[in-house]
Amino acid sequence: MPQKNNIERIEEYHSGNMSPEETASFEKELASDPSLRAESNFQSDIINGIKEYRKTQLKTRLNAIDVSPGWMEFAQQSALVKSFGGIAVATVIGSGVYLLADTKEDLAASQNEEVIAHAELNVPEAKEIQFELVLPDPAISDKIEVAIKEIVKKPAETKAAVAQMVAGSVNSATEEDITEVAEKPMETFAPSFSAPDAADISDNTELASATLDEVPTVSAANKGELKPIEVETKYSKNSKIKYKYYDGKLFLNGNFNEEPYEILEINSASGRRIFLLHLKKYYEVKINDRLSELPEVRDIKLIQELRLIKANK
Amino acid sequence: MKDSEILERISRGDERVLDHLYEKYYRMMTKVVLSNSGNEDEAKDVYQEALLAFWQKASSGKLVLTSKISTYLYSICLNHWRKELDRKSRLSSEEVDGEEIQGHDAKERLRIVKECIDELGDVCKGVLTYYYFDGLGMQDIAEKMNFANTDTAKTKKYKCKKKLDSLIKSKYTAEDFF
Repeated sequence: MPQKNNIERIEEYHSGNMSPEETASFEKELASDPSLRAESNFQSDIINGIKEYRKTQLKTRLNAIDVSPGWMEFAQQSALVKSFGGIAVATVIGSGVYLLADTKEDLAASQNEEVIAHAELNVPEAKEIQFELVLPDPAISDKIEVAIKEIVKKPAETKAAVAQMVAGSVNSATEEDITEVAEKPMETFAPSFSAPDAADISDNTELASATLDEVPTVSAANKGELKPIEVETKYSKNSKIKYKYYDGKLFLNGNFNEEPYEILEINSASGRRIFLLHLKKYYEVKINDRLSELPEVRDIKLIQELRLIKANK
Repeated sequence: MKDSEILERISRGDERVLDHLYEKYYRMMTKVVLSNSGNEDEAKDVYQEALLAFWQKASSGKLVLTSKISTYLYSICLNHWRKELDRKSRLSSEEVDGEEIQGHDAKERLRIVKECIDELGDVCKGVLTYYYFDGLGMQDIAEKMNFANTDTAKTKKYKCKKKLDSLIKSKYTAEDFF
């Protein structure tokens, strides 16, 4: 039987895989052999360091996960404006003018009722989504009706503009509040799953070089600061989706009135990859500052991965 | 997701399960600390430590689970927090200082090791952390990192470890740890 070298034995000792007899025998050797002991201590430092490094890495990942109270509890706690902020985002993202027309009627009917707003955005049937507002003050509700009319006219209104309107309407609101809450529903679209997509990690693939282009987002992801993506949509009859994506903001031109889209993310050691699902097709969103066609994902393995992520949301 | 599926995925190193568990049990597990004179930060720390201890055991195949995952996690959190409360109540101020002084060298060595790991490429970081912390076998490492086969994984691990060893040795010598 070949004699294991010292490094192997030291490693086995530190892994806890030695039997009690082997451990006892090895420890006797350590006590009597200073250079073996020194090497063992050194290896212990390294293995311990690797473990701590990995723990820190995983904790950073966990810290990026949103564990705050759910949307319902949040809306219950906060003011009217925050509920409206959520609705504003919902309308921008994808239910369409038709839905908003329904919303206006509900809004008029539910004035002065204490109900909570919620938006379920993954529903293809626009009619199933209900909007109800907390409206303690009739004066405010009038202003909101005006704000909604504005949105009806221009579905592609930016969040900032909406926030301004609402900020103007309600004294207690600040734009930051709305933006912050508006970000919240976005997080339902962007779960931070890390798929071990090794193609990202290996040195020689096209994919690896593709992620190198996304330098700003990669470094942010590695530091565990995963910011939610801002999305702005513009209606386009064209069946081909066009996009721009830079500085954490995604602009989409497409037909999202009949069927909403969904944003999915794959986060790995080498960065963050963003995908869009619409009408059962997957597209990859890459840094791009000129409006161009959104490329479809063709890699079957990747599509399976994305399906899994979607199923596990 | 059933417990059995969770464990199976962890054994392959599927980190999405970690995210799922963290979020699912966050309120339940942090209550252990929050309802026993701890604050939100302490609760989060205890839970993260417990979850990662569970993760490490499960992914290295050393876990024999005879209860639900939530029950297991709960008991780790409870034990951990009890020990922490004991430690807090026992420590006098002199003992705290003593601990700090003794720990200084070890902390410095740890900092150096982590710094050197950071200097390695992503492949080496992956292989070494999956091997030494997650306890993944060469087959799982090869699959997770998309290597051609287990031999490639073994070779990478050997080379990466050697590189790390020599990086650290050179820095230790500079700091008089050798």
